[in-house]
Amino acid sequence: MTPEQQREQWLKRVLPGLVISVIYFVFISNIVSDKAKKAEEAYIKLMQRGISSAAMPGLQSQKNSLQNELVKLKTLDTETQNSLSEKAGFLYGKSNSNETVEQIADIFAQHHLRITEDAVLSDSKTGDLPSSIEDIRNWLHDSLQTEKTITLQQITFVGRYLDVYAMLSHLSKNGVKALPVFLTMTHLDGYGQENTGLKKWLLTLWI
Amino acid sequence: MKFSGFKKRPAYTLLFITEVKTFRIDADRKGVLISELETIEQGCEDPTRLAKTILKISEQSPPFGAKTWLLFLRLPAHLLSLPTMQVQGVDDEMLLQALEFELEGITGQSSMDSRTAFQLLRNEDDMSEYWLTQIDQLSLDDTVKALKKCKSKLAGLLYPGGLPMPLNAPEDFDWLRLEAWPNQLYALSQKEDDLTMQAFSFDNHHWQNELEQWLMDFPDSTLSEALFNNKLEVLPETRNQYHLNRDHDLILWLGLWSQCLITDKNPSVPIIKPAGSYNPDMMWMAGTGVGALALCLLHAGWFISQSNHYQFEVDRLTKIDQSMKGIRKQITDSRGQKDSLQKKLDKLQNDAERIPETIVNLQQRPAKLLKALALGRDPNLIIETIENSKNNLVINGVTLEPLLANQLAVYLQNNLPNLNWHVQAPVKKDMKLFDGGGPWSFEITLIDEGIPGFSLKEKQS
Repeated sequence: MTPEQQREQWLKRVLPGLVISVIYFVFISNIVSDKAKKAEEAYIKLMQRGISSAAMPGLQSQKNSLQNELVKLKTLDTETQNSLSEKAGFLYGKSNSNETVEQIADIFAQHHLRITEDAVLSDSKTGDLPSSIEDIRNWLHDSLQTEKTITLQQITFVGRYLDVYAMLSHLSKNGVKALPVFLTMTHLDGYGQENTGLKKWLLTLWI
Repeated sequence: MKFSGFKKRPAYTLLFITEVKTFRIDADRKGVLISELETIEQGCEDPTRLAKTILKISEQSPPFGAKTWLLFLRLPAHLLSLPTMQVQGVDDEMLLQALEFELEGITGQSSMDSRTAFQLLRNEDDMSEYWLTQIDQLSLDDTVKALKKCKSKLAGLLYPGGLPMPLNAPEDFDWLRLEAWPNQLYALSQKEDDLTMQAFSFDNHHWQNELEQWLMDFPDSTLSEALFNNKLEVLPETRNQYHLNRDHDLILWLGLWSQCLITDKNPSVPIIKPAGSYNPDMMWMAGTGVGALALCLLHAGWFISQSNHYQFEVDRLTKIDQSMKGIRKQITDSRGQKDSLQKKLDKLQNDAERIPETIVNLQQRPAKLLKALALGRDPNLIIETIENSKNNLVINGVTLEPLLANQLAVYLQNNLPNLNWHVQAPVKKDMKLFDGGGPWSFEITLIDEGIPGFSLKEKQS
């Protein structure tokens, strides 16, 4: 067999392998390798962003620590709420208004004050409260979740200035569960000379 | 317990087919005899009847082995010489064509209709001598089919002469043997690795002279043996003589053939083998194709594996990323909640300290106001009314001197601290009831500014 024939024979023998290799490496390998390359690039990008399972324990620990702090703060909040409710005294919770009204009437009588009208005002009739009272009411509502409506007792009475002062002092110092909201003093009409010094008063109490 | 029906089939069967009888012996995969010699009264005188002979033998004998070697005494064998120059460097296929062409001239048998096997015997005097065996293609095909019917395959067909091993001591490499066959005398000699063979036709009247001349080329051969078939010829005296009509010699001879044919991949005898489907070029093409395919698959597999690996990692990291984002959001929310709660708590705690005092102050506020009005009032000033409207508490009165109203306002400002009231300057009006002017009506407004730190605006800030 001549060298040319030998070459031809070997070429024939390796031809299928060559054809398969050329078809694969020209048309197919790029598809496969590009996919792998893209996946690798996506992986490297994620790694470069510092995303790693190793970072998870640190974050988890930070989250747990914050949640523990939150739980502690909520506990503290509850405790503070409870202490506040104590400090809010009679303004928080249900008080026995009848008992209070009776106490007030008694104090009025002690100080020679004549009640001419005694009425309970619903919230719609209270009108605008003074800012300080409004602040207390809002604070109770926000902090202690009390109802926005309050009970007001409006007492119209007749008395002398000094007696009224004494009654108010008494009211503030003897633990009566009432907070003065409005106090007005007007002339007393239709009374004679014997009633000189008497005034008509209107006291609105938050009970 | 022995099951005769499950007797293991031998790997190989050797059939020595003579004109009148056939001798059978079986061997294992290593060429070791595993059966007794069996003599079957069925011979074959013509290669064209070989197939039928095999079928008849199979009827009288146990099933053949998986492969069958046929040592056929009537297989045509020839010696042929060609100029060495002509055949030097020629591949086996071309050489076979040349030998078949030469043989065609001698036998008249067309090479197209026959199968030939050859073996180079020697190169001497610029001539290459070949030993050939030939059978017509149809007979060979029939033989193959006959063996297939017997559930066996033709391992090879050869002439029984020319066993390339010494009978006396098979492991020796220095021996000489004369074999007397019906038409030919074979003289074989081996020195070291050099095996030489010469065939002498009994039809040649000078065969004895030629034999003597051949023997003169091996004066030192100490081991010599002779193998006789049933035809006895006058041969030079040898040390050992073997007769194939004696069973033990025949078994020895067949055993050596078995060893030679089964274990030696290229025994130095011409063997006709059935045409296989093996085509070297096709095998190469398939091999390179499969190899390239495997390489491509390996390459693709590697990248697919890489792709899957990175995709898996990307999916894993994406999940981690999402988890991290979720945790970060939770951290941010928790931090916000914590800050607002802390702020609320701070305020509540601050309020908690102030609220009882504030409530007490507010409870005392009206009494303190009345006290301050009483104490801060000049005898020339009369307070007539106190009016309330939301944040404004208005004190109305009459004074003989306008300054007294101012003095009262200052007094109130100084003596009503921490009651969240801002005292405005009095508004005075001359009532012009006296000649010199006066008295004056006045109006002092106290504005409730709310509890510091409790007002809505302050909370929002």
